[in-house]
Amino acid sequence: MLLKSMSLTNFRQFNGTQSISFSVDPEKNVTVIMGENGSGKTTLAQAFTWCLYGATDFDDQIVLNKAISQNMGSNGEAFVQVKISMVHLNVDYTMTREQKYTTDSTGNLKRPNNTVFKIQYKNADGQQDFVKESEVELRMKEILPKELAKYFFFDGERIGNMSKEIRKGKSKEFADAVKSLLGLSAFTEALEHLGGRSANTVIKSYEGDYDSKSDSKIAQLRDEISRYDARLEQIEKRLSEIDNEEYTASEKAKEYEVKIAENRDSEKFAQERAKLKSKIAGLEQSKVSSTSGVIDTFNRKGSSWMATKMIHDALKELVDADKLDTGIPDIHARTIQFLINRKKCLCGASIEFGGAAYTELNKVLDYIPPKSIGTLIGQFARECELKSRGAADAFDDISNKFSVVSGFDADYADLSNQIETINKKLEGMLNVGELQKKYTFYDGEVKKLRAERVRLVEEKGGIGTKRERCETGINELVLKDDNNRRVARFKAYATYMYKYLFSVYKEKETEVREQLEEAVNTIFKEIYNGGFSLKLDDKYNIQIQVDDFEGYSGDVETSTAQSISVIFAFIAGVIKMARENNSDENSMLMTEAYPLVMDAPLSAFDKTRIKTVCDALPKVAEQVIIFIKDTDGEIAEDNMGSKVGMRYLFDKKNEFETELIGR
Amino acid sequence: MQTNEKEIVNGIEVEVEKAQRLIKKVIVKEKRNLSTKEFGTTEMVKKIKKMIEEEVECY
Repeated sequence: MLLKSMSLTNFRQFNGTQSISFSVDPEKNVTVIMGENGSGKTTLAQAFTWCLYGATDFDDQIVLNKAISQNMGSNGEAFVQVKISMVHLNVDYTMTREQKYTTDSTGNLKRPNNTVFKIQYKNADGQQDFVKESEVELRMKEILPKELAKYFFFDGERIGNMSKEIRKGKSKEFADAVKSLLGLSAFTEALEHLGGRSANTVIKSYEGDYDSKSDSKIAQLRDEISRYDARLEQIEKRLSEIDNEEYTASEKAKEYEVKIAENRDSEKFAQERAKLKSKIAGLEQSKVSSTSGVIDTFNRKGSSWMATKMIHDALKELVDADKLDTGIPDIHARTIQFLINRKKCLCGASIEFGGAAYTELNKVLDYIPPKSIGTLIGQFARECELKSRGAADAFDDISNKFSVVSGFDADYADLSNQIETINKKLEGMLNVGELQKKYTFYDGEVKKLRAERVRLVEEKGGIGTKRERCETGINELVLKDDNNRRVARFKAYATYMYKYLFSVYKEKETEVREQLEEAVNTIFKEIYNGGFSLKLDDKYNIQIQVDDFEGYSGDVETSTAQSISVIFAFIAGVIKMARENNSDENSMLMTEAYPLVMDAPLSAFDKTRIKTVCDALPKVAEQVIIFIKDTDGEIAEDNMGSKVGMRYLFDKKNEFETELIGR
Repeated sequence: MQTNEKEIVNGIEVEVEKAQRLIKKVIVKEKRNLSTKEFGTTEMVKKIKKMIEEEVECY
C-alpha cells in the first residue's frame, strides 16, 4: 500500500478543497509536512482515519469547517469530503468519504448525516469500477485492518496508551491482522476455501456431490456428519469466546491482585481505626458516668463539704458554751410554769402577775428546757458531727471523678487525631475486602472457563472420532458406486491438502513470528541502545527483557523514549518483513509494503535518538509521511534530507483556516 | 524424478507429489485473487475443485 495523494474539502481547518501529493519515489520516500502548534498537523493525520474508517480522536465529531458552518445561513447545506488515492497490491484505489451537513430555518447546524464511504479501483481491464457498497468495509479491512491502522497512522502524542496496548491486551483481531500483513493471508484464504467453517467449501461441496439417492444409509450418515459439524462449529465458537473471556478475566484477576497488594495496609489501618473508635466510645461512656457522679456527689455532699470550715469554727466557739448557759440545772419549764400558776414560790414568797418575781421567773423560762441553750448546742454539735463525717470523702470523691472528666478532653483529642491520621492514610486506598471479593470472582471465572474448555475439548475429540467413523462408513458405501468413488478420491485430495496446509500454516506462522521478533529486535537495538531485548508471544504482545540479567524473564517498566522505541521497532519490523516477503515472488507468503504516517513522533526523543530514528525509518518503510513541528522538523530534515521527496508547510490563516503550501 | 509416495486419507490413496503440486497451484491462485479480488468464495471453491479434478485425473 502506497499513498499517492489526499484531498480534503471543508475538513475542519481546511476550507474549500486542498490537495497534497505524497512522495512515491523509492529513493526519496519521505514527505515532510511542517507546521506550528495548532496549525492542523493532527487534523491532517486524523483525516486519514476519518476517510478510511469514519472515525477520529477529536472530541468534537463535527468535522465541517467552522467558517463554512457559520456562513451556511438558514436551510443551507455543505459537504465534507476526504479523498485518498493509493496503490495496493498493484491495483489503483481511490477511497472517498463524504458527509452532508444541513442547517435548520434558524441557521443552526442539524445533526449531520451518516458518512458515505466509497472505494473506486481500476479493474483487470483498466476500467474504473466501484466496490459494492455492502463490501466496502470488508475490502478496507483486507487492505489495512483498523486494528493495525493506528500503528501505521501513528500519533506520537498518544504514545502512552499505545505502549500499554502493544505490551499486553491485544485482541485476537490484532494478531489476525498482523498475520495477514506478514503474508499469511493466502494460507488462511486457501484453508477457508478448502475446509473452513463456512457452508461453502471444497470438502463440503464434494460431500454434496455424492449420489446418495440409491443408499439411504449414506444420507443418514451425512445427516449425522452435519449434526456433528454444527456442534463442532458451536464448540469452536465457544472455545474462541473462552479464550477472550479467560484473557479478560485473568487480566482483571491480576489487576485486583496488584490492587490488593497495594492496599494491603488499608486493612491494618481499618482495624486500628476500629480499635481507636471503640476506645473513644469507652471514653465517652466514662465521661458521662464521671460527670453524673460529680453532680450527684456535689448534690449530696457539696453543702456539707463547703460548710466544713464554718462548722469547725462554730464548734470551736461552742467549746465554752457551758459558760453561756445561765439556766438552773434540772429545772424544766413546766416547773416554773407550775410555780407561776400557783402564784407562790418554793420559798413561799407570793408571785404576783407583773411583779418582780413574775418577771424574773419568765426570764428563767428562756434558759431552761425545752428551750435550754445547752440542749440546742448539744443538738447542733451532733448535727455538725454528722455533716462533717458525711463530707469527709466528698472532696476526694469529686476530685477523682473530675480528674476523669477533665482528662477526657485531652485523651479524646489524642484519639481523634490518631483516627484523623488513619483516615488521611486510607484516603485514596481501596477497601481490601471489596477488592478481595472482586479478585475471588474473576479468579473463579478463570477456573470455570478453564474447566469449560477442558470439557469442550474432550467433547470435540469425541465428536471428531464419531465424525471420522461416519466418514469411513460413507467412504465404504460410496466406493461401491463409480461416480461416488471418483468424488471420494477428489475429496481425499482436498482433505489431504487442507491438513497439510494447516500444519504448514502453523509452522509458517511460528517461523514468521520468530523472524518478526528478530527484525523488531534489530531495529529496536538500532534506535534504543540499552541492554534490553523484545520478546513476542503468540498474541503478538511485546515484553521488554533485560539482557544482562540471566534468568530474569519478567517484563520491565519503560520510559517514554523506550516505549516509543518499542512501537517504532514493532511497526518498522512488520513493515520490513512485509516488504521483504513481497520481493520474493516464489514465496508462499503474500505481503505488501506499507507506509508509515506519523504525527509528532519525535518530541519524546533526544537529538541522538532522533538521528537514529530518522536514519532507520526511511530504510525500513516503503514510504514515510511525517507531520512535524518547526523545531523537530529542522532536525528531521537535517537527518533525512537526502530521503525527502516532498515538502509542505501549514500556513495558518486563523483558528478556522489553514492552507497547505508546497515548499 | 517422480516419487511414488502415497498416503491413505479416509481409506483412499493420495499421491503426495500430486497433492503438493496442487497445494502450490492453489496458493498461487489465492495470492493472485487476493490482489485482483476477481473471484468470490463460490467461484474460488469451484476453481479449486476444477484444479483438483484435472490434476487427479491426469495420469
